[in-house]
Amino acid sequence: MLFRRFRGIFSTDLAIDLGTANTLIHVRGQGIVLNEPSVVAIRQERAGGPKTVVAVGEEAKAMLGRTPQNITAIRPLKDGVIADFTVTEKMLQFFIHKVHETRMVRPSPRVLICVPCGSTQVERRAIKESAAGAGAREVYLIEEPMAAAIGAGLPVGEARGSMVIDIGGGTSEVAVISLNGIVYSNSVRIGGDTFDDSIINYVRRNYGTLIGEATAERIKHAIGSAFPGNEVLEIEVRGRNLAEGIPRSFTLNSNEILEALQEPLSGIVGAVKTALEQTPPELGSDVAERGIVLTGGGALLRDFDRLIEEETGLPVVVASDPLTCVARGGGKALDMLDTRGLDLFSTE
Amino acid sequence: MNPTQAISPDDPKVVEFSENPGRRLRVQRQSRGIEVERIAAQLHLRVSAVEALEQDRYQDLPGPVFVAGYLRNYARLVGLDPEPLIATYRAAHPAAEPTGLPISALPRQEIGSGHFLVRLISIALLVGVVAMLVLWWQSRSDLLVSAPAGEAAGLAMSTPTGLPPLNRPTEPASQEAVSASPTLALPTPTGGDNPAGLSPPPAPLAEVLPAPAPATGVAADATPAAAVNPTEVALTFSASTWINVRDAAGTAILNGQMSKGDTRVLSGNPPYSLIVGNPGAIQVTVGGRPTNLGKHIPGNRKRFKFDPSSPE
Repeated sequence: MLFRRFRGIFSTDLAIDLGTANTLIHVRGQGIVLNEPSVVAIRQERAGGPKTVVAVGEEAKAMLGRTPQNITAIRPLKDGVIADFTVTEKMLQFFIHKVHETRMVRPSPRVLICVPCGSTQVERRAIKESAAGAGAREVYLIEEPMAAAIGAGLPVGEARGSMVIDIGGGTSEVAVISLNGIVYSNSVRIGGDTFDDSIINYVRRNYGTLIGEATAERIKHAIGSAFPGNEVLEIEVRGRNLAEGIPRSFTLNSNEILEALQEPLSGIVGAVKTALEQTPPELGSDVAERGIVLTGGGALLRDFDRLIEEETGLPVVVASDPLTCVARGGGKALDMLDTRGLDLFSTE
Repeated sequence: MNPTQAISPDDPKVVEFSENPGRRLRVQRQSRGIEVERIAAQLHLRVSAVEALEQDRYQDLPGPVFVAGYLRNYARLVGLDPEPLIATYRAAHPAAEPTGLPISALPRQEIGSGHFLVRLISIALLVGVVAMLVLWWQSRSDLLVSAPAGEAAGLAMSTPTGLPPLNRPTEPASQEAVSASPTLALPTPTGGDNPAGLSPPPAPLAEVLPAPAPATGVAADATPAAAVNPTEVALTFSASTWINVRDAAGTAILNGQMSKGDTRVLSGNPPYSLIVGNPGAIQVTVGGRPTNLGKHIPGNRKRFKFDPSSPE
């Protein structure tokens, strides 16, 4: 215990956005220092044999779906929560070490981790234990929409309602925040991954062709949109034709992708509408006057703000640099940890 | 009311900051012939909010994150590149950049378990409790050692023995011992004082130790047959053990590792305090007679007092 405290002197406090798709680490005073995919590649020579970590992050992501038999590239988080405990621990350990690369002493930082507000106690405890196992001296948890709101620069401390929508890789969170607390929050397990899956399914159904997750993500980034726009974009992709069993190339356009994304998008819109219904009227009027803030990688989907705007009739703004909002907010919350105590943080 | 008219009074001021994002948006809007109401409807904002945006009256608008968002949406609507506008806005309002939280940063008044005072007090309490425990334990162990002596003395006193009473010189000697070890104060004086008036202490029974004769001169009289000093305490070790013996004055008279078969004779004044690593390994002889140590070391204690003068 004492030794951990001693090692803590040589470690910096970290705010970690442990996302399904990407893990971001914010270091106090340095900003975002790490932004890597949450992917781990594991080598196991024979069944039941010892497992070793081959690669983590960007390097491991390149291996996704392209691994030989003895290597598996896995994403240890699913729907915003831990699906594989030990691998998550290894990944966190790797990232924490990477951030402390230059230090001689084994790092033992204080760590703040963002958790989806819909996660259960068991899931939160798993995240806590996993971070502690990765070498953290103390672990604090903060709910993702809270961190996102702080990171976006919303006046969370005021007695005014602010609505934030955070669309992550695995989950989408909708929350109304006032006076440093969450008034209403809802988490749906729809996110960037669901969009990819929908695209894969759409292509299989309509083109009889199988594409991989990486390709689906590329399609989403290139031509995905949430609202019918003026211009129609096209992309050429290659996939395995199910009937012939041979890779074929074909062209997709943005309207098709919009159609493919209808189902997950309406799920998110439904969650937003429910949130507006459930919000107390005073806070609702604050939200209506100022608008809804979009954060998270999903906010980068073309015209997503337009969709929410049209569906709700409220102004919608995209936060600056939406991908890093949660991590930056976590960093700010960590700064306030010493001065303000723990009222921002969720317990267990 | 024509919105352009509403703006016109501010015009000269606005012209000075030709780079202001609001003005650029307004110019673009007017060049496209779009009315302010339509923009407001498209942005789902009130007309007054759009006007405030065009006139760069940001204090009338909510926080910077919203202003930047409105600017972006507005610019997209009228076909301008939003990024330079937002950059201009940020540059003009660096204070508006979301840096800290406008939360009342009152230091917390409540004292948590980590507070310095709380820690200090709890540590002091803990030390106090431990100290009292140690004191209690010490006094308890002394009482346990002396209790058998007192009982034995009482027993002996009730036994009618026709032997001559002890001569007076015993008293000062035993009192010396008493003063040297005040913890034994209670039982010993009764053993030392009473013999004068009542029956003599149990000294002369054959199997019993010549206990009440701590003074050497007296002891020699009581058991003249004994070749060795009757109060000489010898320790014989049946196994190797570590031992530390202190006499009544507290000076160490024997200290160290003993091996099997060793014999040591204790010098110095009784009672002795013994600390023994392996209590089962010692046999004690007092004045040449083996003594049962069992009474002095109840429960195989490793720390005890031994007074050869106390009767068994």
